[in-house]
Amino acid sequence: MTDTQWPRWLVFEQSSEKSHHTIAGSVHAPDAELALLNARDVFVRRPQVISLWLVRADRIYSKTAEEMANNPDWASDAEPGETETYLVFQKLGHRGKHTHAGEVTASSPPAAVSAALEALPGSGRQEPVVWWVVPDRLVYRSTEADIAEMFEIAHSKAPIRDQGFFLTKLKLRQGIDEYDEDDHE
Amino acid sequence: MYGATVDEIEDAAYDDKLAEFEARIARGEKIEPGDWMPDEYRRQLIRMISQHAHSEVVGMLPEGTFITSAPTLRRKLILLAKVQDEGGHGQYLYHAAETLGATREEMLEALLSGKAKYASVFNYPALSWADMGAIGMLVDGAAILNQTMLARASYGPYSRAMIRICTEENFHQRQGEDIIITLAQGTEEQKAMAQDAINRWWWPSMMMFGPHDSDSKNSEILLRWGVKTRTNDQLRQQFVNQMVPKLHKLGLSVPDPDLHYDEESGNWIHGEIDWDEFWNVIKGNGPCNAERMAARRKAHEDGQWVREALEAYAARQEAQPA
Amino acid sequence: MNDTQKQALAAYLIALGDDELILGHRDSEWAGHAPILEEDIAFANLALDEIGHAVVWYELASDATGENPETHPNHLAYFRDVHDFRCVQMVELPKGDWAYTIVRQYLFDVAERIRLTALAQSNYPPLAEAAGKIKGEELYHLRHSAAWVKRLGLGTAESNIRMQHALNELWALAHQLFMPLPGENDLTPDDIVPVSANLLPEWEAVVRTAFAEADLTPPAANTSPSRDRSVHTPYLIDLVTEMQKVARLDPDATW
Repeated sequence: MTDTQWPRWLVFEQSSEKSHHTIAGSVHAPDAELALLNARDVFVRRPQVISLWLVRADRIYSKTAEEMANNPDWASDAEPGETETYLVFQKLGHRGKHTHAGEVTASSPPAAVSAALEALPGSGRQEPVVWWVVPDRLVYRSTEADIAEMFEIAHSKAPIRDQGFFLTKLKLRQGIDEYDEDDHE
Repeated sequence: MYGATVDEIEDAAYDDKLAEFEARIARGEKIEPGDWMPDEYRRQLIRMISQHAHSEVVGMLPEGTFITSAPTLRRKLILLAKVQDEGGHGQYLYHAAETLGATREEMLEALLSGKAKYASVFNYPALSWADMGAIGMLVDGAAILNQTMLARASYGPYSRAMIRICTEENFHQRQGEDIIITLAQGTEEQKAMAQDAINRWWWPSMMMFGPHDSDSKNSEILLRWGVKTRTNDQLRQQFVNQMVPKLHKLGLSVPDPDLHYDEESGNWIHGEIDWDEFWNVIKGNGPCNAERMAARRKAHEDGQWVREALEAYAARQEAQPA
Repeated sequence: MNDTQKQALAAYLIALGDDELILGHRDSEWAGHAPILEEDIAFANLALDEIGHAVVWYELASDATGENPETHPNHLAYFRDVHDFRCVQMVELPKGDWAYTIVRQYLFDVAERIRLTALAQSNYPPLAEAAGKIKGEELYHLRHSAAWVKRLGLGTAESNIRMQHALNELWALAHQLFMPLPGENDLTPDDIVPVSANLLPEWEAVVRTAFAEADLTPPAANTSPSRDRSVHTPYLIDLVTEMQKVARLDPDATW
């Protein structure tokens, strides 16, 4: 029998009201609701999240700056479909992570990237090196109610992974910590 | 040669592309899915990342056996959280490999059929509670050195997974050290237990860094393409220098009669590793290879009806008009 | 509270803690053995929560009787004789297949949610506060187990049969959750804890609806085989022996 590990969903996490949704990784799940629950268990083990977005990995349309430079005709085979809202994610600079940059209206994924190149060109010093677009209707979002039900409760487990939860007698612990610090010089 | 295929060599542009690729790596740029990369880079990364992911998942097993008997409620919670993290790290890493086009179905198939490798260290048994300390201190201690290096890897998704893992992994080594420190200050039996665990996990941890540089067939290419930035022997030396003083401070010894301090280099020089044992465990003849694989296979097979049922449910939901 | 009530409350909370600790132990056995990696992680999360709740109840029990809340919870878990545990039999049974695990978790989670809602109204403020805190996590468990009940009930013929089989085995056993807990009768007159039997109708209504939606039918027999939480299955002996084996190597040592 062939195995199934279920479809893969990309997970975008938002750590505070001020920050944008950023790629966290992915989970496998048969449907959106379980994808949300799985993403919560995988990515909110340490409490730092107020919202999660889930997108099937195969629904994301991706172009890197390098790809576009190497093939200037990259957008030419776009078949126009329904005009709709696309979410745009950019990776700004080589150290960056794919982060929600805004929305565009377009009739196909390549058209959405083209529109984003115009509308969301990045900020001078930090050039976008990767573009991801996905129709807004394919994004599954955690709700306001989920904040209390799914994310805030993670705080109660935070101490388990904290040093304070350990037991060892301070003196020896300090001895080792000092050693660690020397080490990092 | 660097594994370029015949097709690639016939591709007149190949050399230019390779030169540009290597220039990008030299500039410290991250390679992202979609960017041009040599097939061999992709192949090496899939091999390395999936092996790493498998190691996290198989790594849940030896420690998992002590969750049910951790000697205090606090220790139980900490160990559970740690084993859970390992599952999470496996997840991050499978994700990084998936961005290169490998599917999790393929990667698991390779693991369960014995084609794919995982860290040999997990083929040693956890025999006493002190092993939870030794694994955290030595095995995780060794892993962190490797992971800190890989956080700078040239492949973006791998590097990002590693950065996330590194921020979480400190806790793992901490909890291991904490157990060893507690035992080392405990009763005579507890001290003996700690020493016994260190004796059994020292050499397997040393082997985690892989063969000597001179025998490591993948090292050169991985260094050249910025996947690794330090060699096996360099990392191993760093590990020895870090661990030996810590263990001595705790009144514990290192099971290496040839170990000595070299004033000139400032290094602790270790004795020769038993490479016959190393290759033997890699080939599948370690004390627990069969047991670990049997556990993974059973979980996989017992879970088949579950995965199928949820897929069937999802397919029916999608087929229904909203 | 008078002294009798304090003792009664401690007995009640220890029983609640035992349910959580033993179920958490069974959940933790899935870590590394679940049907898919995502559920290894999810079940470790459940186990962390359940065992964490056991600690909360044990600490509160320690407070009620003037025991040291730092050390007494460990004493309760590691140095009580197996016959002194007061968990229901349902949580003692081996983890079984995934359907069994999910049905048990779901039956427990709904009961827990209803009891915690009542305990959050307790006249004893520390209990009300603790129940309020724990409830958040239980709501999340319930969301997870309810999602799974529906999907496995409606998934394939095989998953439906396995779920039905698990439900047949667990249905009567689950009713033990609504028998009076140790100490309960001393506490209900002052509204410190709810009458367990009064929680049953809501539980039945909720789980019957969910099972019906998942194409599953609870069996007719609904009398718990045991009313008494001091009567255990042989499985508990093995579980407790395993749980205590390291701690008992040297009871005076620090681990």
